[in-house]
Amino acid sequence: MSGDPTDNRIIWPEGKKAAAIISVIFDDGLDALAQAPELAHRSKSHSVWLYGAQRGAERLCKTFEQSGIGTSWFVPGVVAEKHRSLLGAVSAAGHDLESRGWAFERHDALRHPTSLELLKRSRAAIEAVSGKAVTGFRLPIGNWPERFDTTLKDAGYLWSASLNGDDIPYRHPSALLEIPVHLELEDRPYFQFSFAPAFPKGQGRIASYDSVLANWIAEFDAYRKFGACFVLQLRPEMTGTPGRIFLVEALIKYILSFEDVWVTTAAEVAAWHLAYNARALEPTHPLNVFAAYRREHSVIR
Amino acid sequence: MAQSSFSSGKPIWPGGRQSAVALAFDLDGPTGDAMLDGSLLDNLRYFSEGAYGPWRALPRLLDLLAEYDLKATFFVPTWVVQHWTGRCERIRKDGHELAYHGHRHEVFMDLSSQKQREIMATCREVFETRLGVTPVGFRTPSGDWSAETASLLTEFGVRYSSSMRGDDRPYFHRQPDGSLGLVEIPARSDIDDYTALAYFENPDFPAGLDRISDYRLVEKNWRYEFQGYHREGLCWTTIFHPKVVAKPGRLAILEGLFRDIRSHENVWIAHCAEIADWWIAKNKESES
Repeated sequence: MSGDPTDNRIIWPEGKKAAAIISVIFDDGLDALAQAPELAHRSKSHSVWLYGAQRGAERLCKTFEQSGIGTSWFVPGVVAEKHRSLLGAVSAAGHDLESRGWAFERHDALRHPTSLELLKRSRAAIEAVSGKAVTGFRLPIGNWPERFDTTLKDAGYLWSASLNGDDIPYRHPSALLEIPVHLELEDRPYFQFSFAPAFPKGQGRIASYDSVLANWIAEFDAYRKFGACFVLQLRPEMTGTPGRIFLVEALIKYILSFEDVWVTTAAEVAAWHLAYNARALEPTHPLNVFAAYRREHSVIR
Repeated sequence: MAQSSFSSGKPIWPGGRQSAVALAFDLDGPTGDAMLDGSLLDNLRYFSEGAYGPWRALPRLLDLLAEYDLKATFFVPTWVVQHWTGRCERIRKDGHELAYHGHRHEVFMDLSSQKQREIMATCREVFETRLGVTPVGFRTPSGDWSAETASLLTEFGVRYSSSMRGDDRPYFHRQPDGSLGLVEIPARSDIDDYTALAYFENPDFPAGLDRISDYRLVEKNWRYEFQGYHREGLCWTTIFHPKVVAKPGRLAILEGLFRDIRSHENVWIAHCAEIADWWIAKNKESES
């Protein structure tokens, strides 16, 4: 099988042929407010997103507890401060708290010193809640700025789960580790729904839960077959509901039925890759081709 | 639309086979509208989504095609050939056909004839120098082509197009003087993976951000399509994109489809170029 650089390379701990990370994105409605600021004055519609802190987070945690797995929670710094006791309990239950920036700012619209300062502030705020090191980051909104990997490193982060481009972890030029994520493994594209303002904007029907479960199982099976890194991304306000928690339970049970899959947190995957997998970025890796694309353009310009 | 000489009846396929299947993949990678308008320069997330196609999805897709001993046609913007030459080299080595799809997935309808010729010249040069192939097929990228496109393509040795949607059999385009031009191998949006599976935000697709379909139902739809074309003895081609349909879990959809195709013995599985050449030869026969 020429052409696939992952062939014949052991990229997981002994006995494991693939990895699965269950992650939780807990924005507490900041994601929706960033797109529709008028929600701040619409308590009914806004409450669609506030359900997560009220009910969903706890329900997800109970399910995780029953399965005995650790998960990775991405939270903006201001959300960590606002929900100190809830997130303290999440952390105490064995889950990792990681950063989603400070207050849903667009880092591509900020000057570098501000960006750096907010990234540090976010880490400090979240660490104050969890009492554990925050090593990871997930881009909340906006584009990935040029050399942002270096900014993250300078702010004390070791890894990011923000980009696509692959389904196994890879290293940025600064050695920041990227754990690639894919939209089809997120609950939001399948389940988000708000009447006014409209989410999603075409208000397509809410997906069938059985369909979503079947799709995620199909993806998991394939990630396992290819030795890749499966990253599920759940939101408390979307999947931490009485009806959809069945889907989470079923999926986790399925994932845990395979002993050759390393079910762990993103921080563990990052630490392992940073320590044991020093593979350099191949010349035609998406990150390198992107750099070539930008160079090409600057020559033309 | 020009009527083919065989349009009144069921097409005839080589060796008495019942139907023709020309599996086709558009290996767009990160090319397309965002590259054309420059917004992609600042959008690494979207670039990485597109780059996943040639980088990670394609090798697995080629493995699957080999496993089912299927040959296919790959319409590849030559920007992708330049940046992933090794990946595209394997397409050729594995016995698949490579064909034109613009350089950066340009919208031909919006371009002058001169500009279209320049793009085609670039594409031909890249295919020849990087891969040593001179394609004979063309699938129009992004939307429509212009009134002149079909005839100017013939200047580059193009013999067929797979761009139109309005038939389920090949037919001939007409040259401006009324003579027969390119063979058209039409495809339909029913088997365009974008319509069922593609999803992205910033830029948004689909426009209303509708849900990703149930993979099992997508497989069923596509199998209905193949079976219907086969039953009626038609020519089936696909508009698949490795970055969409060859993501890990979706390869299982293709596997179900491939297994179904392989369970029918009298299907002619061909490159689009073979279909076009057969169509040209049959037409000559019927004229003489």
